[in-house]
Amino acid sequence: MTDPNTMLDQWAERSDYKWGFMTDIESDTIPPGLNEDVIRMISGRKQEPEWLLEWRLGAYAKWKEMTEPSWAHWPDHDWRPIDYQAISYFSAPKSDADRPKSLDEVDPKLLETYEKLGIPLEERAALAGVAVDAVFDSVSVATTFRDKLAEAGVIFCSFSEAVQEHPELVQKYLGKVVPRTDNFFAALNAAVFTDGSFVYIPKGVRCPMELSTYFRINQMNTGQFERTLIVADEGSYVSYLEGCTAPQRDENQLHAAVVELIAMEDAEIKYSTIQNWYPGDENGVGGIYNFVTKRGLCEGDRSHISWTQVETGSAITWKYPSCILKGDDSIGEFYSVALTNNLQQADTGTKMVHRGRRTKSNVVSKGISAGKGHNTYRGLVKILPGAEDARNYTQCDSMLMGSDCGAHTFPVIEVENPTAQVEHEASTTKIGEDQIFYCNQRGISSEDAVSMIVNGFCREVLAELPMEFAVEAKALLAVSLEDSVG
Amino acid sequence: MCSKTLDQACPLCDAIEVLAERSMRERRMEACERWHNIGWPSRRSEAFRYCNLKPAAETAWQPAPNASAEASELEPLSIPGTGARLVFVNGRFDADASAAIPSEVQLLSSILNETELDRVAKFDDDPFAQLSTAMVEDGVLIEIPDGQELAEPIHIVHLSKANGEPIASTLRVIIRLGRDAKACVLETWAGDCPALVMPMTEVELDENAHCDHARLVEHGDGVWHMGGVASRQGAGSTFESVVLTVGGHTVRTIAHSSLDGEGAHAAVRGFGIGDEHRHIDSRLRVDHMSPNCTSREIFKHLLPDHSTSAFTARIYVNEGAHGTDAVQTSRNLLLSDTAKAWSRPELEIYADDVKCTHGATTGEIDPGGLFYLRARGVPEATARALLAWAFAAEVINEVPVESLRTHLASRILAQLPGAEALDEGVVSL
Repeated sequence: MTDPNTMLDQWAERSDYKWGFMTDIESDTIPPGLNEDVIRMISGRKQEPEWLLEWRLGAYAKWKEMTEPSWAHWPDHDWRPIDYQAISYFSAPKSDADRPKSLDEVDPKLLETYEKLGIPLEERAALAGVAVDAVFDSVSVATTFRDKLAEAGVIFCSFSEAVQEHPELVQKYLGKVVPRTDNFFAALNAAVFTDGSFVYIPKGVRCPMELSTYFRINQMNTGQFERTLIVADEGSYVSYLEGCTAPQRDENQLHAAVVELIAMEDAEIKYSTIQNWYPGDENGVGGIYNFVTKRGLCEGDRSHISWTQVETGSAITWKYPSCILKGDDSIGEFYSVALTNNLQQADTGTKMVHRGRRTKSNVVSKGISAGKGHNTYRGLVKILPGAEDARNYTQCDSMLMGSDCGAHTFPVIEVENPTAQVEHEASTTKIGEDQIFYCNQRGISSEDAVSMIVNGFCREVLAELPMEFAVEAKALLAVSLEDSVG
Repeated sequence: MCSKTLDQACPLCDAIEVLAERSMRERRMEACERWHNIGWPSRRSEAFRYCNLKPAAETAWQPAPNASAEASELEPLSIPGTGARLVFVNGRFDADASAAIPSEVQLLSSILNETELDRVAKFDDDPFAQLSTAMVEDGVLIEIPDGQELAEPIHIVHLSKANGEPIASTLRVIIRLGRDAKACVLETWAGDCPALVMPMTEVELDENAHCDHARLVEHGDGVWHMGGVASRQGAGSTFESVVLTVGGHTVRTIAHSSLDGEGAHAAVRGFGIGDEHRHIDSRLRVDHMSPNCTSREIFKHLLPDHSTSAFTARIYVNEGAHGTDAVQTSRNLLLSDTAKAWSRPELEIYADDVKCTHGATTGEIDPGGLFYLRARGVPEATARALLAWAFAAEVINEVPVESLRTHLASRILAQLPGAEALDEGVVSL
C-alpha cells in the first residue's frame, strides 16, 4: 500500500503540462507596443465603424489614467510586472485575406491543433451536436452550424462579424454590463480587443444546441483580449461553453478577457467555463496571468444567469463572474471549482448584487490547494434597499493538500434591506488520510482515491456542467492527479 | 487628523507637546506625526469603508479639562460584586471616586514610559491608536504574579465630562498575567458630552493564565468611541473578551489577538444594540501562530432605526499552526427598513491540518417564530421583543460576572421596543 503522505507529496509534483505544444503557423502580427495608432490599426484592419473606434480610444484614454491594481498579495509568488508596451496587440493567421468558406478550406495545421486539443470540429459537431466558433488567436477561422442556428434565428458569430453584420445590436449592448472603464483590465480590453464571440437569442427561442468556443493563445508575446457578448431576449434560453488551453511558454502572458451577459424577461443563460491555461512550471516560471472581467445582467423579471467554472490553469487568476439581479424574481448562480498546484494562485469568486424584489442567488465555491498553491475566494453579496425578500446562500469550502499551500476566504456581505435572508458558510479541511486509507483497504490505489475524493468534494459544482463539459472537467481533474502520482 | 500640520497651532497637538515634556517625548511625537500622516480616513480607506468619520473630522476636538465624578453619575454605572473600582474622568484618575485598589494594580501616570506601552500590537495604521499613544496620560497596569489570582473583578470606569466643548481623551489598560494567574477586568465607558474617546487595552498572558475582559460602552449619543484591544497569549492560556455596545454615536473596536503559545484559547465576542443613527464597527484579527490553538469570534447586532453595523474579521493561520480550531460568526438582526449590516468574515490559512469555519447571517425577525408566539396570544410587539432578546441572549450568557449580565440586560431591555411587557422571569439570566 502506498503511504498516503508520500502519495500526497508526489501529487504535489505535477508533471509536464500535458497540453503544452505549439503550432507553427505564419502569423500576421503587428509589432509590440500600445498607443492610439495601434488601436486605430486594429480597428482599421477589422474595418470597424467610427463609433467603435471612438469607443476604443475613449477606453484607452481612461486606461492611461488608471493604475494597475496592487491589492492582491502573492505569498511565494515572484510577481513579474506586466510590460504593456512589450505585448503585441494584434495577431491573425496569415490567410486573413481569403478566409476559409468551409472546414475543408481551413488550414490543416489549424485543424491539427484542434485535434490535439481534443476538439475535432466535424467529429464533435456530428457526435455532440455542438456548434463551435473556434477562436485561434484573435480571428475566428471556422464557424459551423451557422445555418442550423440561423433557422432558429440565433445569431452566433465572431465579434468582428457581428460588428459588420449586426452593428445595431453590438452598439446597443456593448459595454452595457461591463462599462469600458469598469476596471484597469476591462479598460485595456475595451481599447484593444481583437475578437471574441457574439450571441443573440431572439424572443422565445430555445437555442437548439449548446454553443461553444475554444480560446487559445498561440503567438509568442500576444496577449489575448477577447470580448464575448451574449444577449438572450425575452423567454429565450442558451447554454454557452467556454474552454481554454494554451501552449507551453516561459514568459508570462496576459489574458484580459471581458464577458458580458444580458438576460431579458424570462430568459436564461447558462455559461460554463473550463480554464486550463498554462500554469507555469513547478518553479513558477511562465504561466498565464488570467485577469478576466465577467458580468451578467438579469435585466428582465424572472431572468436567470448561471455561471459554472472549473479553473485548473493559469499562474495567477483573478476572476469574479458576477450577476446584477435587476429584474424582480431574477436568479443568479455561481458554481466554481478552482484547483491550484505548484506556485499557482487563484483569486476567484463572485459578486451578487440584488436590486429586484424576491431575487435569489446561490454561490457554491470549492477551492483545492496543493503544492505551494494559493486559493482565494473573494466575493460580494449586496442587498440594495429595494430588494425586498431577497435570498442568498453562499457556501465556500476549501481543501488543502500538503502544508505549504494556502486557502483564503474573503467574503463581503452588505445588507440594506431587513427582509433579506443572507447566509454564508465556509469550511476548510485537509484531504482525509483516513478516507484514502479506507479506499486503499478496498484495493483502490491512492491516486484513484485522491481523484475520487476530489471529485466528490466538487460534485455539487460538476453536476452543474453540461454533460460533455462535466466529462472533460472530471478528466481534467483526474489527469492532473494521475500525472502527479506518476 | 486635525487639518493643520505639526508646526501650526492645534489644541490637541499643543496638549501632546506639553505631555511630551513630561514623558515619552520621542514616542509621543512619532505617534503624533503618524496620526497626522494618516489623517482622518475617508470611506475610501478600506479600514473605514463603513465608518463615516466626516462629522468627527469637522469637529474641533479640544484636550479634555480636569474634572471629577459625582456620586450620582457613578451610581447608575456601578456593577455589584466587583471589588476594586477605579474611576477615571477625561483620561485622568479620580482618587476620591475610586475605592479598594488591590496591590497588584498600579496607576500608569507615575510609571509611564516607552517600554510599558504598545508591547502587544502597535496598530501602526490606525490613526486613533496613534492618537491614543500620543495623548495617553493615565491608565491602569494590572500585574498578577505567577500562580496568583485576583479575588474579585476589577471595575474600571471612564467618564467624559465637559461643558459643551467637544473633548478628546484616552486611557490605557495594561493587563499582565504570570503563569497560571487569573484575573477579571471590566471596563465601563460613559459620559454624555460630545467626546472622542480612544480606549486601548493591552493584554499579555503567560502560560496557562486566564483573563476575562469585558468592555461596556454606555456613552451618550454624541460620543465617538474608537477603541482597541490587543492580546498576546502564551501556551495554554485563555483570553475571554467581550465588547458590549449600548450607547455612543459611533463605536469602533479594533481587536488583535495573537495566539503565540501552543494550545492557547481566545474568545472575542461582541454584542451591540443600535439606536437612531448609531454605527457599530468591529475590526478583528486573530493570529494562530502555534499549533493546537482555538479561537471563537462571535458578534451579534440588533439594529433598529437607522443604525448600522460593520463586522470585519480575519482569522490568520500561520504555517505550521496545525490543529487550529477557529470559528467566526457574525449575526445581524435588522429591526427596521433602514437598518443596514455589513459583514466580512475572512479566513487566511497557510496550514493544512486545521478546522476553520465561519458563518454570517443577516435578516429580520423570523416570521415563523413570530407566528408561533402570536398563535399563543402574545402581542406582536412583545413577541418581537422576545425573539430579539433570545437572539441577544447567546452572547450575553457568555458575559463574565452575573451582575454585569443583569446590568447589561436592563440596558438592552430599556432600548428594545416592546420589551416593557416582557415578564421578568423570561429575561432572567
